[in-house]
Amino acid sequence: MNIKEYIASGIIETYVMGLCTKEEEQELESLRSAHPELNDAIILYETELEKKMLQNQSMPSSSVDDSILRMIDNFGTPVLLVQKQSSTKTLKWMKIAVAASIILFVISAGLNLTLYNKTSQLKKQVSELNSTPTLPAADYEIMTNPTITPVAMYGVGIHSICRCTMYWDKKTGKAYIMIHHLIRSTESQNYQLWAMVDGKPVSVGIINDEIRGRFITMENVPASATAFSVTLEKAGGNLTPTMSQEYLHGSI
Amino acid sequence: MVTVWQNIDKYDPEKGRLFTWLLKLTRNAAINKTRSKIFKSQAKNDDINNYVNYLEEKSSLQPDINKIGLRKQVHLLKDDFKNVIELSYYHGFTQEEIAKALNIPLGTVKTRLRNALIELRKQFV
Repeated sequence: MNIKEYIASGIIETYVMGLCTKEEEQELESLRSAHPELNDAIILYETELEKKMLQNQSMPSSSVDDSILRMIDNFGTPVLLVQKQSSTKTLKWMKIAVAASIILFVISAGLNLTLYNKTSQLKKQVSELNSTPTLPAADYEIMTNPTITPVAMYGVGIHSICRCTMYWDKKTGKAYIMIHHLIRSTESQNYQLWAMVDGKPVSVGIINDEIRGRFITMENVPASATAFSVTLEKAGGNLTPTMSQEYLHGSI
Repeated sequence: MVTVWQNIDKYDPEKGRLFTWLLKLTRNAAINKTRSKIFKSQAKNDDINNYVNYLEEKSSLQPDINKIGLRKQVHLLKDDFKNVIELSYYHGFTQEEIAKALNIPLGTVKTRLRNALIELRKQFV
């Protein structure tokens, strides 16, 4: 329904004058709460009508006043009672409104707190994720290169807890090692990587065991290598491995 | 005034201004009074059809008391409008009763009454 057309239809005038049917009255009253402009239009007409009517008012004689007051006296004072009722009714509504706002405030505060906690949790997670080291592109390439064979190296004897992985490109001879778990060497010692070539150990270089969780580039390994081992040698390395100090071993 | 005193608890501020409510109450009281007076003087139930004649004869001989305020404005309206307002507002007949009496469709009464009141409102200014 177009409310503007409805307002202009004359229904308001009919309603205020008390001349519309019950159905029209019900329709208007239900529309009234949903459309503030309808309510405004009703009040406007009422005000205009009131003004018009009061232009022509005439005062009744004072004897009329007296007779009315006398009659009212005989009826007692029901109005005072009614006013009291209506004011307590308003008070009751006010109380309900205040209670409702307090409840809403508490709920809102609770929600705010929960949301705040959640947000700070998420912030923490985001900063953690940002600070987690990711594998550099070069390392990632080595890992995903299909021609490179990973060789797992396990701890030997009492060093069984140690772990490393060798990545060896058999074609080019390039070799890399990644330390997962290895006791740090002292200043006077170095870990040295050996490849078993034709049954003889060949040095593939000193391992800088300061670098952890990343590939350490070693010297080239001859294609006929069959196994790798890591020994702890004096600083700078040895020409032959000290087998009593073998920490890691991995067969190809 | 006494009726107002007794019925003030029925006044609902959400439904309209106090003046409008007083107006309705007064009008109802006046209609009731008029009807009982006519009933007494004519000693029989008055049919609405008589009112149509009543309106016609009264329109020329209307006493001045009826020509003050709003009613004066009503009498300035064209006959179609004047009659529906007279019958409904001043004599308290329902829209159905008016339709029957004037032998016009109910819808026409409705439209005519609404337009009459819109026309009347224009004269407020």
